[in-house]
Amino acid sequence: MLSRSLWILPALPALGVLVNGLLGTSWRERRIAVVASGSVGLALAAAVGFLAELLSRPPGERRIAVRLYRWLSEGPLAVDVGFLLDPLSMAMVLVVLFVGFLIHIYSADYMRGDPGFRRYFVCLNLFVFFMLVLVLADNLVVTFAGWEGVGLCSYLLIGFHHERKRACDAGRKAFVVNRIGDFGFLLGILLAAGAFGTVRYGGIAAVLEADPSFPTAVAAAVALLLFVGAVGKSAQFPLHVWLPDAMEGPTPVSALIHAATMVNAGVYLLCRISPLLEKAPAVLPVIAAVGLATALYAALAALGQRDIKRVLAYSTVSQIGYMFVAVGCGLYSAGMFHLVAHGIFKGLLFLAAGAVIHALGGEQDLGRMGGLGKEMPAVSLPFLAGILALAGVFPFAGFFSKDAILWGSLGRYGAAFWLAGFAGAVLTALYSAKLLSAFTGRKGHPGPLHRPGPVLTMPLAVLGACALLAGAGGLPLFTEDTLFARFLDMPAGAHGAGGPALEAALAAGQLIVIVAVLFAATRRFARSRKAPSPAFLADGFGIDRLYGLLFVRPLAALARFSFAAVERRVVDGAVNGLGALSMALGRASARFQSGMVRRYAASLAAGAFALIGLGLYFSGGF
Amino acid sequence: MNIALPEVDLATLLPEGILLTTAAAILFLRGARANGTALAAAMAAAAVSLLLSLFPYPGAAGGTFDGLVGKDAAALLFLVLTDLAALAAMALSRQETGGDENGETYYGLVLFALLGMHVMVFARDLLVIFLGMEILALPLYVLAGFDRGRKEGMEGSVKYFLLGGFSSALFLLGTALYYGAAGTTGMGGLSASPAAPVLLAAGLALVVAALGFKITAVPFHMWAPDVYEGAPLGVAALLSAAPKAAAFAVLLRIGLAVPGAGTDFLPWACAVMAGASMAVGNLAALRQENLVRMLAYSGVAQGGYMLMGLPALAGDGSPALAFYLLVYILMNLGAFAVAVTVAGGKGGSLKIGDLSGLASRRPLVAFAMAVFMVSLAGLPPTGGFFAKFYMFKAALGEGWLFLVLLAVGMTVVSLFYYLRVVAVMYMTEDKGGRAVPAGAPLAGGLAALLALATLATGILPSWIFQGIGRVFP
Repeated sequence: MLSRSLWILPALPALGVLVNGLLGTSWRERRIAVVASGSVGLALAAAVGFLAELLSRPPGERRIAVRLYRWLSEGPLAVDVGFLLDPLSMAMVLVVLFVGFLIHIYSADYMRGDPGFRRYFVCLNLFVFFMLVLVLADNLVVTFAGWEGVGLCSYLLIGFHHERKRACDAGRKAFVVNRIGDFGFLLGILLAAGAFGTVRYGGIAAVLEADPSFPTAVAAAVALLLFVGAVGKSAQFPLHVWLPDAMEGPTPVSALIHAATMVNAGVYLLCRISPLLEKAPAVLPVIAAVGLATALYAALAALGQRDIKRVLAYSTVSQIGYMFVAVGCGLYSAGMFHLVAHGIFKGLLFLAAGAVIHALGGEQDLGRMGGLGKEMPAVSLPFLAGILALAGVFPFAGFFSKDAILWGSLGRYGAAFWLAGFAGAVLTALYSAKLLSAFTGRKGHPGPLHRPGPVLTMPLAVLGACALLAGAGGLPLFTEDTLFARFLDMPAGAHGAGGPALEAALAAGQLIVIVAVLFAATRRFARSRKAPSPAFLADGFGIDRLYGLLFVRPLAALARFSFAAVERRVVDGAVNGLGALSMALGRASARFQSGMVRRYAASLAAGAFALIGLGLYFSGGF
Repeated sequence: MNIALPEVDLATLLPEGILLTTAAAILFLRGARANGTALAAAMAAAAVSLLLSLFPYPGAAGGTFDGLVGKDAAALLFLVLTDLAALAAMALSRQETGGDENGETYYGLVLFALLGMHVMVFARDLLVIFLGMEILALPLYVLAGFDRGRKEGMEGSVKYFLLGGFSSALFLLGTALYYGAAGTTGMGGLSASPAAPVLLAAGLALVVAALGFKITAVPFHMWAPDVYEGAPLGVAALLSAAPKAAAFAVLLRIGLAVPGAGTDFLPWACAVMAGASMAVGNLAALRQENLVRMLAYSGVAQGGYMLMGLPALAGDGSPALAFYLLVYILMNLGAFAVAVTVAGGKGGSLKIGDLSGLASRRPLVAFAMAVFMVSLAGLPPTGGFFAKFYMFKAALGEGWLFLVLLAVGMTVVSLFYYLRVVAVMYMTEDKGGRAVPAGAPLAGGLAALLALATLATGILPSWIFQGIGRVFP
């Protein structure tokens, strides 16, 4: 009964968009915020209802599928607008709505007094709507619709402060870079439609199951094209360049879109098409390699940043890299678990950072923070929980998820791969320490603090508790058969390079190293805060400059070039390039479109005669 | 002497009766608030007419006046389309008629024009069609020059009048030749092998030429940019869509009613006009700096795409054409609605450059405009994509491969000028551009509504297309 009304999940935020968008023009902020948060809250309540319904069924039958209507039917290919709720999409829905709900509440205070208050909440609700469409879609086309929709909202919200040039530039950059990934996605959809005759996830899986001799190369090509889309959306190397700039958006937006939900869509998509990946296992190492390279690289880049939000942004890129590693190891449930855990603790870290920035009157430089721990305990305690989860300290959520990924990579790709992954984890601890140093040591800022109110700190407390409790999904320890994996019920990759004893030993070793690094580095960062940037680990090993040289400047040039090219070359070039014809036509029409009525009449007459001639020719008149 | 009186069933003509009465009554309105009253009355009349055709009452369909008038399901569909276009165009006109002491007559004239289109749509006889075309044309000549303060307006009106008279003469001559060949001016009175196929072909060619004038098909299109530019924006919006719908209804009737010798050139005639319109319209639009002139050429090109449906009548041509018309009305009038909201009294002289930085000044209006441009360019997820999709598919199904190739090529060309508008709105800084006038809430609301409708036709295309398909036998 409940299952038939799956559409209600996306419908509620859409209703919020309509109500606030059409009726809210003269409403007070409070009412707008209540409508927007309320719509997401109701959707969350509905989602919990669906979760209960799913859990009440036996494990094999936990799926609710609804077909709303047929969108397009052309020959054998039929595209329906249909939703699918299975444990995989349920996990995503819960993350989107739970974190989304808290961020809506948080934003009500954070955005208070902003002239664009209503626009902000309309965009935010619209984002939640599209994200739910993306997640619930039962086929590639509807996923793509949601995919483009969240991209649009992201673009609108990054450039929310459109009076700031940097914000507009960042929005534009995100837009352009994402088009590259989307192009791959689109090609992937077309190829899938051609090769499988369906774009439904279930249909593709059925084709692969029914036809064992299905060409692996085709499956691999589809998977790789979709992977390109995932790389763009999830900001993986080399299409990651838009995410750090996206921090120009309001901080709650960074928390929701650029940490907890949208940027993880790529990981979700790869888990969705896991039958394809299983069919073409040659793609998996590519995914793992891209993920690992991104994880390491972005962790280094995070170290080189001074801006608290940019550290978090690079950290997000790095952590999503770990999720890709998990998928590349065939450990879908570990990847999804890390996604859920990361959604919680990174959302928390962003929100706490927002509270800090708010308290310091817009200060984002880590070098000018410090000693905030004692002054704002309602922020610093949740922040500490988030940091411990990020660094992967037992018993916080990050420990369970990251350990599962590292252990799986050892089994699948060997010790060297594991070592690189572990190095990334150490780097994570280093930049976590850097973040933490804002709260320790001596007071680093002059002037008084604007202490955050309860509307800001309540979501922090809730998320902080979750960052601790969510680790329970990773129990029991040192098995693949965790609670979360049992719920998700996805195929587990084959591994097992050693017994649980070896895994436990490795995990303990990792934990000791990470805690030691975290502890030592926090003290050191707190001491050397005032030192100029190069003192910090040589400015992230000069990665920033290298990065600037390698990516930012070429990209800026590319952006300049593409704008100039699109505007000047392509548009004018098309005009000139269609050249001879266009110019001749232009001259002719200049002569003809002279404004002289007799010319126009002559054209009319000539046309009439031409038609008569055609008629006579056909009817045998001559 | 016995005179057989034709059977007359006036109930069938109820919508037309309402339009005529309201139009006549509006001409007598006087007083300070006449303008607003006229607008409300005219829109109510058009809306009632639309609803009566959309949800037919018993007796709404049927033939009367001895077969001169025949409302079938297809006619009702086209009546809905013309009413929709007129309704939207009137909503756009509030701004421009507000300051005119004769502003109320404007709406009366629009209703008369709408009445003429109704007659064109349901007539089954060339002479009655001619009557409808003249009822349509005369008010439009006046409306085109309604803004007496603008030189371009008067110039455009006179041009339109002269050329319109010329095209009427062509139509009458064609009717005479048709009568000579068929012995009747009725469209049902043709045998499969007429006595004089050559005469019939010549007559039909002239009729098609005159209809081509109404749908701005190349080479009968040249009046369009000048007239649109000079006319009030609401009139330009009306001109760009409603007469096209009526003329296509007539063309469909001609194409469907008279198969056989002397008419077999019609598919080719339409195909040639389609190809020429797509090429000339799209290429000429590339060079335009004036928004309304750009839309005029874009309308020429869009008319070309729609003409592709006529050679494919044996297949899915008719529903594809009707679907295209529906989407075209939504997106093109939407573009005009945006023009009205940002024009601020500039009217037809609005430049594309005037839209620069619109995204930061009026984000919703800019977004709506982006939807219309993307849809006109034929990109998903808007209705424009599916309009082209169904049209190209219908034409391909009937073997018009070269026409489809040309259409696809020209669609790529059109991307440049449609997306340039989007680029101007989103990519350029606002160089202290003109302050956006407050007001025009009716046009703004209409733009929002039409943007949603344009998206909806892209979200529910199969449903709408099948609904339209049921209309055609």
